[in-house]
Amino acid sequence: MSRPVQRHNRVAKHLRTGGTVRVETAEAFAAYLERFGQVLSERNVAVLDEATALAMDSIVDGSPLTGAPGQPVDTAELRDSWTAVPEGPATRLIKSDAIHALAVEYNWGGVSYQNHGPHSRALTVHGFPRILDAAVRQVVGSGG
Amino acid sequence: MPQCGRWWAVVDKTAVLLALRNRALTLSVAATGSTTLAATTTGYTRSSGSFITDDFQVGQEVTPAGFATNTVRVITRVEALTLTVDTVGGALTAESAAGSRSLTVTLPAIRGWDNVTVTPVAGRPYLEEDFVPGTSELISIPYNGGAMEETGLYVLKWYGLANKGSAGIRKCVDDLMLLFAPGTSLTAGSDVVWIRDDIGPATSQIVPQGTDRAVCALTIPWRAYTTNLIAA
Repeated sequence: MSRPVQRHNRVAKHLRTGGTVRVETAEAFAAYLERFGQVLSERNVAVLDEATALAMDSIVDGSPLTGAPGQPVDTAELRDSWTAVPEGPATRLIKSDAIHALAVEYNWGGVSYQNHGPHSRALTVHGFPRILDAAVRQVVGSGG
Repeated sequence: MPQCGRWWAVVDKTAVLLALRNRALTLSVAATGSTTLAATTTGYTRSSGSFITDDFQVGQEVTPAGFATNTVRVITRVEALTLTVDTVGGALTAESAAGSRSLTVTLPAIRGWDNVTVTPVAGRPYLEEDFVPGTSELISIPYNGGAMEETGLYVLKWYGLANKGSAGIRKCVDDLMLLFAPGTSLTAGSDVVWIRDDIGPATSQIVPQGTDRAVCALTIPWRAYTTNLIAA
């Protein structure tokens, strides 16, 4: 299969000389579409990974994107319990198995905070449009 | 981003909190309406209508009105014509049937508003409130006079009684959620607070606390707008 660049040059040459270009143009267009699809797929994954990283940061350390305060730290057991794992090609699961994660998240009565605070997961969820916007800017801006 | 030395108007978050709280205070989960009711030593009875149809559930806190004694109690059994309640603190005073009486289920009487510590009472549901400001963003030009959007969460935690099934707590929290339907707007001082419709309110699982409690949280996302003002 000819490379798109060569076909593009041929298309340009034919346009200049007025030769017949229909078949080659269609093939070049198909090749460009294929490459466009590849770039789109790569960017989708990059945005997903970037958004996952930003969401993790928001939940664990806090973030100005969402207003989340981050996980309170004493022994660091709760903070270190948060993980992000792939559940499929287009899904990432951010979770904690710490026994007191729920109490901290919902600020159940009796929980006190030396630092950071509650509701980081909820603020991250509700701030996700801003996370997604930042992820897209990061990926597209870098030319990825 | 505002530069050092400049100021910007903020949404009156006290007014937003009060608007959301006052909305929650309008909750009515179950009610007989003004009707003829009698009191027994263990509950209440009626000769017409139905406590089941009126949506009373086990575990809910019921507030009587129009009786000689109107002590708040927790429902332990629901039948069409009989509502049995707890006798913690002593049996009820029996009263013969009379009109202009009512039984209602609303927010728990014991409430811990934002930054107010609640003292739970054994055997009684209670409510905690969290007001959680989130983000602030200039969403239109110019800097001076443009629109500022602030977002945040309003979280209500309903602490019911453990081991009473889920219907009582779930009905209360779901009815509370209906008061904050996506797109609802509330006056908050000189601002308006909107319940977000892109990511709407949500309730949590009913989680046993390992004591005599089970808690269910309602998270309500809000947004409010104000005008950005930059001091000269």
